[in-house]
Amino acid sequence: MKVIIVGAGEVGFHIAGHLADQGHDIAVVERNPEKHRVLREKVNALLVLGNGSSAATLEEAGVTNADLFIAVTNQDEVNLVACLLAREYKVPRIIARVKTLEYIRGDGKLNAEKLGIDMFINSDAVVAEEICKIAGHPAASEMAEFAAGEVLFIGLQVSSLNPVAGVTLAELGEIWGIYRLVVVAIARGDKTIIPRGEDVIQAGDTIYYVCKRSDLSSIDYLFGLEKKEAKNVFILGGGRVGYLVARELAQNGSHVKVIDRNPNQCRLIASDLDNVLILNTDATDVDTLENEGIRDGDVFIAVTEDDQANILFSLLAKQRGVRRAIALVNHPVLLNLAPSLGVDACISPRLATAGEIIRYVRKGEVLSLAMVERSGAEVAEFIVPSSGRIVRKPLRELDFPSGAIIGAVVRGEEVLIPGGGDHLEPGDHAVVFSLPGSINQVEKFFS
Amino acid sequence: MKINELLDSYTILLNPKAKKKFDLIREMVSLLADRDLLRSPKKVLADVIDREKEKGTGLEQGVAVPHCRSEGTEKPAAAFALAPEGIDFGALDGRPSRFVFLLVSPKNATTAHVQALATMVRILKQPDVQAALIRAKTPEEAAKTLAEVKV
Repeated sequence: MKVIIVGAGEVGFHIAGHLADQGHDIAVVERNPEKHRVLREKVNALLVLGNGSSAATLEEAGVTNADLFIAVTNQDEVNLVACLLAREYKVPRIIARVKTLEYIRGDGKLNAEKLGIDMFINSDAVVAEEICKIAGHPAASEMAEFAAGEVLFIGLQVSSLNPVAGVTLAELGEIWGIYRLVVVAIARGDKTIIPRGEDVIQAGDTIYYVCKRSDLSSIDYLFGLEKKEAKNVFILGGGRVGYLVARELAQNGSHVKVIDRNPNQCRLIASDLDNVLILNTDATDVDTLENEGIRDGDVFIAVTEDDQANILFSLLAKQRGVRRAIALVNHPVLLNLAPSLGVDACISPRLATAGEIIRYVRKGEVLSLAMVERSGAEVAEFIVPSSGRIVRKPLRELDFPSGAIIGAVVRGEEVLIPGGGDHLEPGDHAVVFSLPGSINQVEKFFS
Repeated sequence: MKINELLDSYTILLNPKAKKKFDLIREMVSLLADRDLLRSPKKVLADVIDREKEKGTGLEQGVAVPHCRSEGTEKPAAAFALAPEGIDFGALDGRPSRFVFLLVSPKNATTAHVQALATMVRILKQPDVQAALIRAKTPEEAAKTLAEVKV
């Protein structure tokens, strides 16, 4: 597929790398020569220097025979004009990143449909959705749904208090009949592996597992996680993300308190959300936070525009008794650092946005897809073909790519968390975790 | 945690009275209480039953391992029951459980709790161990069988 990407910021860079690795033909339009240098080193793509809202530049990038057009610069106007141009060139699929929430609201004056654009993507909305998903679990740092929500993929940082710290996968296998999960990967430091029976889960690891939604609470018990809902929620930062998260969580019955030192921001939220309490103060104002019950807080969500503030105040809130802290972190270096400091989950707007776009692009190839930010691994739902090579053979005898593992099998209404003796049948849906180097092989396997 | 440090002949039941899951668990917990191994047998019983209601602890090959982490005990404690006719513990293969191992650990139990469960399952599912347990005439003989298994 021939893909044009306008804008080589974090989002564009990430998408270009991912799609190029899958063998697509990529052209990147970027007006900043400095960014070209980085791209040239890391991504196999045609680089075009120039502005994406210029037809001549787009022609140079090959817009006349492009299959997919993605505009993800920092400016809505550039993205919109670039996409309108792409529409004139009859590019079959067009995606624009927009920052203004107005565009993605159903009642907006201009929307994707009116402009002939296939998808509008808004980072704030993507991030807010991601935060709300993991805020609902007692400890997950990542979470994705498959098979219409019946199958969950969860990332969990293993604390030294977790009863499975020090346990081998083979030991977990013995009680698999009670705790039906497949640990598909273990991330330790900057390495992610697909574990074998003799591998030991260690405190400090992030484990990734697949389970049925209906087994979630029994598995939480195995991990020593208390049954606790996100009842008392504090949100630091009343910007767009803060607003969206507050609205969603309050609607789901949480008591939400938004902290923002900017009185205008506070007024905006207060006028729109009447079931949310606004604290017009600074996050260093510990007295107010204590009076507002930070000690009994279930989740602290830091979503200001400042990475460092988000990380620091998350830690402060935890020190003051909040059970769990989630921080919005943009910078890749801080993103890797924050979990080791004690922030329970970090969301990167750029990676989340890139993930959402890649998910959209790959619709059709796979049923649904989640990306693991830390390692670039993928979890995807495939349909098992009817050819005889892979069906009706025990999984342990299948010649499955070594960097991948099947986490769940959906057969009609039934969800199986498979053991080595189970098999695939034609038409089954398989939820598969793949390390970056094996994604292509897994696709071939199911094609 | 070694199995023979957890289980001795006094916490082994070869012919339990119970015919139902929760009755058997009650009988096993009171065995631990009789040996004065629990701080609050009532709390332990409630916690084992709560955990069991979350998801049955029956496994394949007729083994079940009801368990919990509970504030009702300060030390790990375990009991074993052989139910000749089998009792339904909700095993995946639908078969009743004949070899039932109960493990209660303190609330803050970590690795050893999961490892003891795994070890016990590995022991109990072996056909020759099952045969020896069925042959055992006394709790002492059963305890000896379990202590001698190589894991």
